[in-house]
Amino acid sequence: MLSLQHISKYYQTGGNKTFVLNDLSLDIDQGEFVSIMGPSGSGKSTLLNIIGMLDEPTSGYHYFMDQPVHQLKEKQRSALYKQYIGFVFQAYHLIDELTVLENIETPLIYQNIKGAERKALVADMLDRFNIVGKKDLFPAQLSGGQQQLVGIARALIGKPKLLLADEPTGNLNSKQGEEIMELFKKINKEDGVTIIQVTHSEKNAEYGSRIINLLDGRIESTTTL
Amino acid sequence: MFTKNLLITWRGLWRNKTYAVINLIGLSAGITACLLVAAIVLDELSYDKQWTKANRIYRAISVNNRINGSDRFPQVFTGLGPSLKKDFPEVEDYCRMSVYGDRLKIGNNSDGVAVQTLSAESSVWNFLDFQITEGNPKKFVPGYANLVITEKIKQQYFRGQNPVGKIYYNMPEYGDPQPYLVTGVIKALPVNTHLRADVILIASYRPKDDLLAKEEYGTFSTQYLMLKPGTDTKNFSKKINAWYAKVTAPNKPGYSFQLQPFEDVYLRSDFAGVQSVQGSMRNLYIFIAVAALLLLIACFNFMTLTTSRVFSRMHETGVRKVLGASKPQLMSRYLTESLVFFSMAFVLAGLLSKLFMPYLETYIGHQLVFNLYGFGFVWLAVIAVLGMSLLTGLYPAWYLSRPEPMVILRSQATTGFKLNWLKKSLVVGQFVISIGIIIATLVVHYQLSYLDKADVGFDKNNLIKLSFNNWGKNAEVFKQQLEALPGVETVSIASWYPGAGAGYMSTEINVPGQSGKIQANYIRGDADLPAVLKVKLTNGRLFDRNLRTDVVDFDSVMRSDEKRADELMHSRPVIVTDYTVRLLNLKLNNRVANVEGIPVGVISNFHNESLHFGMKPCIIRAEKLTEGYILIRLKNNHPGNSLTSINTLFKATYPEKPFLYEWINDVVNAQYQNEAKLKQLFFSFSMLIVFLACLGLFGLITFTAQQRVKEIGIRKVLGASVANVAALLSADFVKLVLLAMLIATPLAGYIMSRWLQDFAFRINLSWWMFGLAGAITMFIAVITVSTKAIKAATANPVKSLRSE
Repeated sequence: MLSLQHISKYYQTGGNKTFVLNDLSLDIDQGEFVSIMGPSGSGKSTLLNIIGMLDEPTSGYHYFMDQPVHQLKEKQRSALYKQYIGFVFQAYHLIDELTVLENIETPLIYQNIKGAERKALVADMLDRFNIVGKKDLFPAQLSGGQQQLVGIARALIGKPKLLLADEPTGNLNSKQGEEIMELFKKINKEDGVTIIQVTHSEKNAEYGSRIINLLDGRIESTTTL
Repeated sequence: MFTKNLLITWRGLWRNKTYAVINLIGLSAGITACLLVAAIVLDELSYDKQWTKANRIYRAISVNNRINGSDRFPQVFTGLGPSLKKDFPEVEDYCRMSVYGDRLKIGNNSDGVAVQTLSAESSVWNFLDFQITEGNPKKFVPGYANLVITEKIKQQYFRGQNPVGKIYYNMPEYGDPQPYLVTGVIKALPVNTHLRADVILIASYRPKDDLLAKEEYGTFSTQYLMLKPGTDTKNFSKKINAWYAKVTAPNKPGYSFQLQPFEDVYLRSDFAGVQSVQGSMRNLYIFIAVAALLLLIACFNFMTLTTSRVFSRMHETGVRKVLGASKPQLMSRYLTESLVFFSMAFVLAGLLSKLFMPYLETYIGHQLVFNLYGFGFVWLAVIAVLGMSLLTGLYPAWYLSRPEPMVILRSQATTGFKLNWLKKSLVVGQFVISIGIIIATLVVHYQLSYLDKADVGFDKNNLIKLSFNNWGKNAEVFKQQLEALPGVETVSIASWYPGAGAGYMSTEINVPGQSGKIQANYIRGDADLPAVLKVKLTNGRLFDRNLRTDVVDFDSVMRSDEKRADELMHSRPVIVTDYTVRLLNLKLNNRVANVEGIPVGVISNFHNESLHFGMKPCIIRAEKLTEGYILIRLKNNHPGNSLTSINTLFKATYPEKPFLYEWINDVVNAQYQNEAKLKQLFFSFSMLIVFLACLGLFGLITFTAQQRVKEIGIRKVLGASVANVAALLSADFVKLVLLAMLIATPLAGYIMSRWLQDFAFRINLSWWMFGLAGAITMFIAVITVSTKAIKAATANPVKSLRSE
C-alpha cells in the first residue's frame, strides 16, 4: 500500500544540513496497524506528515496505492489523499463554529458528495459512534474524549484506506485513551483500515501490529507483535 | 454550499460580537456618508434637466472687454434677445426672466408675505413646462402685471377663495405698491431649478426695450435664448458676435456675448450675487472627494480588521485544508462573509441615511429631489454591495485561505505572519487622510475666525440696516427722531451698506504709472455715514452735516441747473482710503480729475467688499439723501429694546411700509457662508474619518498583540514591565502615524494654500497648525493602541506560554 524509499528531509542552516529524516525506507501493507515511537525530535511527526502528503521530503521515493507520489502535482496529491487518507490529531482540531454533525460532514462536502447521501453517511457514523444525541452540540460543549471521538468519526466518514493519527490520546486521560485505542483496534480489524499512529505511550503502541522506533531520523528498531 | 457559508458566517458574527460590531459600525458609517453625499450630488446634478426643451435653451452672458482681464456677467442688453430673434433664423424664441424676492399684500401679516418671484415675459410658457390647474394664464391680460400663483400659495393664503381674476398689490421696500392681476394657478415649480420660485409674474416690456443701442448703453437683463434643434452653438456665438460688431460699427464693441447652456446655469456660474439659487462644481467635487475618502477608509478597515483575524482563522483554514478543501472553496467561504457584512452595513446605512436626511436638508438649505429609496436605487445598491464586497473581500479571503495545514500540525507553530507592507500602507493611507482633513478643518477654522476678527476698517457690531426706501419729505425728521431714541447712537441714510457689494457705483479710472484701467468704487451716504460706520480718520476731516458743501441735494440742483451740478459734482468733498491715496498719488484738498472730487479726509483702509477681494480704490461721497438704506448705530446696551422702539417709530411714520431690518454683522458674515458650511462639513467628516481610522488601528493592534503573544509572555517572564511591553507594541504604530504626518503635511499644505488663494486677505499657514493636527491624531491613535497594548501586556504569561 505504501512504500517510502531513501526518504530524507533536512534543513539547510548555514553550511550545515540538519536532518529530520535521514535516508529512511519503510513499507507498510494494507491492513497493518503501525505505531511509531521515539523521543522528541526523532522525526515521528514529520514522517507522518510526509505519509499524509501534508509535507514533502527533500529527497527520496514515495509510493502510495501504486502511485509515485514524489512525481505527482499538488492537485493530484490532494485528490489522492482526499480519497484515501483520514487524519486524527492530538488537539482534535474540530472547527469551533460547526456542530458535531457539520464537523463530521465537512470532508464529504469537499468530496462533492450530494446532500442526501451525505446525510445518510453522517447518520450512519453518528449511530456507529453512539453520538446521535450530541449531533447538534458544538465542540466546546463536549469533553476531550468525546471531541476525539468526533475527530475520528470525521476522519472515517470518507471511508479512507489509511488513518493517520498523531498522538491521538495525548490530551486524554488514561481511561479515555484506552477507549480510543480499542476503537482503533476495532476499526483496523473490522473495517480493514490501515492505521499509522504516532505515540509516546508504550502501552498504546502495543495495540498495533508493528512498532517502529525512530531515533535521529532513522529507524532504530522494528518490533512485530 | 452558499447557505452553509451563510450559516457559518452568522454563527461567527455572534461568536465575535466585538469584531462584528466594530466592522459593522465602520462599514455602515462609511456607506451612510456615501449615501448622503450621493443624495446631494445626484440632486445637484439633476438641476434643470427636467425641462423638455432644456437642451436648446441658453442664458446669454456679457463679457465686458473694456476692463483689464475682462469681466463676465450673466446679463445682456434688454434689446439683444428681440434683435437676435429678428435677424437669426436659428433663434426660435427669447425670454427675459429672473428670480427676485418680492412681497405680496396677502394673508394677515401687516408686512405682507415674502415670495420668490419668477419675473418673466409671456414666452416663458414656451420655454418651461408648467402644469396649469386653474385659469388661463397663458393668455396675457394687458394693463397689469399678470401673477400666476402656485397651488401651495393658494392653499396657504387663499383657503376657500378663488383668487383668479382678482387684483392684489405688492409691498415693495422701495416705491409705490403695484397691482398684480392673478390669472392662474399652477402646480409647484420643481425645487431643482435655478429659477426656484413661489409665483410667476408675467410682464410685458416696452417696445423701446426691444431695441439695441449702437452706442452700447441701456438696461441689462437676464435673458434666455431658445435655439432651433441642431444649431451649432459654437458657430452661432461667433456669428452673433460678428453681427454685434456690425451693430456698433464703426466703433469696436465694448461687449461680446457668450451662450451658457441652461443645464449649466446652476452649477457652473461663478458670477457674484445675481443668482439666488446657485451650486458650485467645486463644492460638488469636495463632497465627492470626502465621500470617496470615507468609503475608502471604511473598506481599508474592513480589510485590516478581517485579515487581523488570521490567527483565529488559521486553525479553521488549516483543518479545512486537511479535510480536503481547495483554495477557491475556502475563499468562497470568506467572500460570503464579506458579502454578509456589506449587505448588513448597507441596510443599516440605508436606515441611518434616512434618519440623517432631514439634517442634511437643513444643511443644504432645501429639499432634496432625488429619491434614495426608489426601486432603481435598490438595484444600484445590490450591484454596489456585490461589487464592493467582492473587491474588498478578495484580499482578506486570499490572505485567510493562505495558511498551509502544516501550521496547525506543528504544535509550537510560530507565525510567518508579519504586518506586511500592504497593511502598513493602509494604515499610513488612513492617517494621511485623517491628518489631512484635520489640517483642512483647522485652516478653515482659523481663516474664518481671522475673517471674523479682521479689522475691516469699520465697526460691524451693533449696527442695523433698514431696507431701501424712499423716505420722502419725512426723511430728515424721521432720522432725527431715530437719533433721539435712547438706545440709538447715530443714524445715516445711505445708498450702500457693508455687505452690499463694493459700492453703489463704480468707474474705471487710470492709475498713474500703469497701463490699463482699474475699477474704483464709490460709496454714497449722507454726511453722517462715516461716523455711523466708525471709520478711522488718519488725516483731514470727516464729513460735517453743518457744512453746506457736505449736504448738497444733488438731485434738486441737477433738476434746476445741470451745469452747476456738474461743477459741484467735481469739486465736492470726498473721503478716501489710505490705499486710494497711495495708489492714485492723491493730495489732501487737491482736486483730482480721476476721482471726481476733492479729498478732504483720509481714513485707514476699510473693506467695503468681503475679504475674498483685494483692495480697490474707494471713495466716499456725501450728499443730502431722501432715499436709501438707513443705517443705525446702536449703543452697546440692550440692542433688543432699541429695536422695539425703532419698530414703533417706523410704523408710526410709515404705516404702509414693511419694517425690514438686518444686523450688519449678519450681512457681513453671510459673505462667508460657503466657508462656514465648508467648516461644518469638514468638522463632522474629520470626526468620522478619525473615528474610522482608529477602528482600523484597533484591528491592527489586536492583530499584532495576538501575533506577539508568545513574545510578550517571554519578555514578561524575563522581567519586562507593563509599560515596557505597551511601549513595544505601540512603537510601530507611532512610527506609522509619524510617517503619515510627514506625507500629509505638504499635501494638505499645498491644497489649503490653494484654498486660501480665494481670499485676498488670509492667514499664513504656520507649522503649529500641522503640528496640532498631528498631535491630535497622535493622541487619539496612542489611546486606541494603548488600550489594547496594555491589555496584552497585563495578560498572565503562564497562559500564553502554555503549549497545547
